Amino acid sequence: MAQGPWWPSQQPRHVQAVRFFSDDAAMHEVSLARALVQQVRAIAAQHPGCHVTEVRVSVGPLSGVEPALLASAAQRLFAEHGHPQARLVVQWVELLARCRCCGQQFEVPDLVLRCPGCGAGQVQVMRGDALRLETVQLAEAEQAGAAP
Amino acid sequence: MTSRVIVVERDVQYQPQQAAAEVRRRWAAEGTLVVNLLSSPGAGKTALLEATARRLMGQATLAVLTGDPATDRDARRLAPLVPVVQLCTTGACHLDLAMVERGSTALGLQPDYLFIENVGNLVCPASFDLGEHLRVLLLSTTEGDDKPAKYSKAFRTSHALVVSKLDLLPYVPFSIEAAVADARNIQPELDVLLLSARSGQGMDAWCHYLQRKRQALLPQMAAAPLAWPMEAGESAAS
Ligand SMILES: Nc1nc2c(ncn2[C@@H]2O[C@H](COP(=O)(O)OP(=O)(O)OP(=O)(O)O)[C@@H](O)[C@H]2O)c(=O)[nH]1
Ligand SMILES: [Mg+2]
Ligand SMILES: [Zn+2]
Repeated sequence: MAQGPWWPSQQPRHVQAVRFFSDDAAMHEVSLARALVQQVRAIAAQHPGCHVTEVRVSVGPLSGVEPALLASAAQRLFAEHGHPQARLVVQWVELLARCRCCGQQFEVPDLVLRCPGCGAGQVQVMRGDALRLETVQLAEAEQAGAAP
Repeated sequence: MTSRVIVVERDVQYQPQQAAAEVRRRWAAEGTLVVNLLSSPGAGKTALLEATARRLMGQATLAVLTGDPATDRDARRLAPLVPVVQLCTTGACHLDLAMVERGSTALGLQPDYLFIENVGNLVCPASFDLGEHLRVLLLSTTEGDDKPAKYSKAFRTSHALVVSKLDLLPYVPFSIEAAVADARNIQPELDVLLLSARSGQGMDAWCHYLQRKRQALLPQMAAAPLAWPMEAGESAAS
């Protein structure tokens, strides 16, 4: 059996630390809001002359997202990135799952992820476990000032 | 005013998840099993890594990336036993793939086992795929057996539940059956291990579990790499 450390001796003797600051490390709703805003901006960039008016997302019980925190972070980022008119709509969805054994689809109101049909535990979550970008609504920029 | 609606219907984390899947393949090709340790603060992640490093010393090569909001104290604890890089998040509540990539570059090693000790938190780390093959959730007996029902996403996305600080079980009201039943409601395929890093009880089973998981990863041993809960067809990946 080898004695002592296995790693190469050129490994620094001091403890290495990598430090991250707020550009790289953020609270997790902020990280998710950044990913969302980045995707919306990419879509807007494909439609020159348009601005974003509404962004619809859905979240559910296993999304790991607090809707109000997400909304405030996203709203601020939309304004910072040139889409101050963008309105975020967060829709709540119930958990939907599908049995990998018998194929049955079922809602999961109680977070018991077991097939009610055949009792199998191999179920796939279809909806309600992510922050999903549903739709992005765009309007022609030159008509922005006109009454709707 | 003319307006149009673009239908996207896709997980916001689709791209990071693809990147994580790629990293997972890369580690597997190098023969490294990557383990992401999740728990609330103080459940015993660092203690488990210390005990694991002592057991596997001379049998396998290990390295650790340890995440904390502040200080390099965990890295200092581990440094005499394993190569370690401290990932300091400056207050942020979780690790993400980019941080882990920076850390593993700083580490510059291809060990048999790479452990990522996540920031102590049962909420936020659950949403971030770090390219790991195995997500292990530590629940210590002193935290109460009601945690699986409360922190459902962390349990849903984990492969294994480690009930830690088993030596303290006689002193605290904690029902292993109740905790495991709730955890398996959320993740029926969860593996369960009981151990104490302090007394050593259950440590052999834990080390064997790691060895089995690594062997399942090695291409010559199995055709398919380990499935990751969220990747095995959950809506996040579709
Ligand atoms: N009795 C007992 N105490 C333990 C055990 N494992 C850890 N501890 C103690 O629990 C405390 C926290 O342990 P750590 O290993 O620092 O926990 P951690 O999860 O790494 O904590 P953070 O990184 O701060 O989130 C320490 O005082 C340990 O000595 C165990 O198996 N039994
Ligand atoms: Mg620790
Ligand atoms: Zn079924």
